[in-house]
Amino acid sequence: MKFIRINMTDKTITTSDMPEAYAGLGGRGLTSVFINNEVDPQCDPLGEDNKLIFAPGLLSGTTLVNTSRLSVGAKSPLTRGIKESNVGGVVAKAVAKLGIAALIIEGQAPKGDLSVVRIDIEGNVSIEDGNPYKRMRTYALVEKLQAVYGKKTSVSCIGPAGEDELLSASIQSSDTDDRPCRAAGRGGLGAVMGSKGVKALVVDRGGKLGDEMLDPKAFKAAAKTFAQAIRDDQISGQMMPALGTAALVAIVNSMGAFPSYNATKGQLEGFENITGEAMAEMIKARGGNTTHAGCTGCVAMCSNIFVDKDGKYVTSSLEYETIWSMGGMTGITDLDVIAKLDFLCDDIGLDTMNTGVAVSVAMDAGYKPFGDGKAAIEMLEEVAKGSEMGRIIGNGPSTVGKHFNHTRVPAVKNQSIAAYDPRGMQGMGITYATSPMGADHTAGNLVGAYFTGALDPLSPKGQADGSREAQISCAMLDNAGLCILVGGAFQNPVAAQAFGEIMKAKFGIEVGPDDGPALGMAILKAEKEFNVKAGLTKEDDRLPEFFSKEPLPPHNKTFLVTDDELDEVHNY
Amino acid sequence: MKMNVKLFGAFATLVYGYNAKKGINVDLPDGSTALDLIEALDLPHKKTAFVSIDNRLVKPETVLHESNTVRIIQAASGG
Repeated sequence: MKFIRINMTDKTITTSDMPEAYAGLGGRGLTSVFINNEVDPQCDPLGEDNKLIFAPGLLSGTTLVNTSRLSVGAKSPLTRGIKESNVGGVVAKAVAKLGIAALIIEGQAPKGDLSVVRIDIEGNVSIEDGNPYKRMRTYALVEKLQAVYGKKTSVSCIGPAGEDELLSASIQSSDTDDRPCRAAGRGGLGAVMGSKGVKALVVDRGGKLGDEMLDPKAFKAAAKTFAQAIRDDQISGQMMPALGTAALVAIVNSMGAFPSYNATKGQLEGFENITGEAMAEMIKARGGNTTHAGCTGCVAMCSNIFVDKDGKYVTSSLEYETIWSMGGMTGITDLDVIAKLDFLCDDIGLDTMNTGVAVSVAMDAGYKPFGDGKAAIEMLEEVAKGSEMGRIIGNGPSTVGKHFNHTRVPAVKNQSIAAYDPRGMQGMGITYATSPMGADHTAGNLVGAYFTGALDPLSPKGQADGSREAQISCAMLDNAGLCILVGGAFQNPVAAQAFGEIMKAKFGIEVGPDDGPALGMAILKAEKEFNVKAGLTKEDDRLPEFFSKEPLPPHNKTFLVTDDELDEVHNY
Repeated sequence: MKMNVKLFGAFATLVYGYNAKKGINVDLPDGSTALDLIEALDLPHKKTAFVSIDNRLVKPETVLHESNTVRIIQAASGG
């Protein structure tokens, strides 16, 4: 597998074999260890010394289902620490099938000079003029780029927010329908891409340059077993195809942990209007699609295509976290408005979570009333224009809080929390506080542990251990390029055994029960090490004070985990 | 003991005639538990069914009361 370095200062391209030091790493494992090895932790995240690395998961180039995850890494301009932002769609397979383990963007083009990085079916890399695409929004951009480079391409790109180097800027990637609706949203990595002067990465799909399979027959058999386990799993095989991640709206509301009205309540009045069940009914009645595979080789099919009353495309895919940030946090209970806000974020190139929470902090500060959908849409359009207020919103909730001198800002390391309140799910607060990524639900999700009864969501007891285990597991999945929605399949011993056989057939290595956790811990250690060198301290591993001071209805609990417990999470 | 129960996840589509707005009316003997409720509704995929009473997940042995707000939710994770 190859390492490709693209230097935007002198516009040179260097290709080499993947260094031995990175053997066994892919996805987040590769991006995080690479950033820790090669990036000056003290560098300006938007300067020439930062590096932006794209790495498909270790298994992304194979036929194994649900391995279409690409990790994007850099020093984050938002958190000021290490960042891995994870995205689905078609790009991971396209890159991996060209035999590319990592694509690294280094240096910096002169301000205002834009390029397109192009990789063709033979693996040839070129830097092409991107200036004709300045200020283009992502949907129009993908259409234009595919008209130039062909339909059989994956596109990963930035919108106006990335060009303006805003701290909530995402990198949008095309899905199976060539729509740029899959986001590497977290951490402001779109701003890093913009700072390098790269508007888009266009990669031919269907390459055949990937590594050989050591035992194709054994791989095929084990991969089939693994896929069947995903189909047999009640969550990935039934709930996700029926309702998608939006199924969680009703669940988390029912548990009183759905942060609403800028995290002042744990339940949204009128949440029944925006549940996964309500959305599925609406989409079906309008002729949209509730069971959609947005990523190459997906069998969970959690994606959907949301259409308006006339059956016209609005957005894809409307997910739980976006329904929460644009609905629960803002008090907007109209799915049509929420879908429009989701589309705008994808089109402008913004993280829906950081942006929705920025809007909700502005509303909480009195800038606009909660529930005002028109005002929310206007705020996003301001971001696209690059106006003063647009830049404040586009830089995320911490910037909005500072602007309005408003202290109720639900963010850690400047990154917004996700759709689980730390007071109603104490362990999620631990993950938000201690993940090297800033507040991030995909870094260690404990919802499953609350269902099994392993943990009481309202008690601090045992939550630190639970968060640690979840963070380690997520790092393992991110290394392989596996979607976290199929992580539950590993509870099935048949699937776990099949995964071992897959690794043996692909790489010729035996994976023991301790190897996965050891890998997860090694990845987290590299990330923590980088953050310490970057100047982050244990004081940065804390939730905002209001979570400990303001009880959350309906349970009227505060965050009860002590600082000492937080400091012991990464004690391995 | 008469109570109105709301169903979520796949349960809402798997129980014949279920209406999401109205919920489902259930008549159970006094002293019935969360598990008794799940059994009474004869839900498929029982292992994934969890009862929430007054916005809190409860254990299967928890005794129900007529005044409770009862929801049956289905385990899920992700985001």
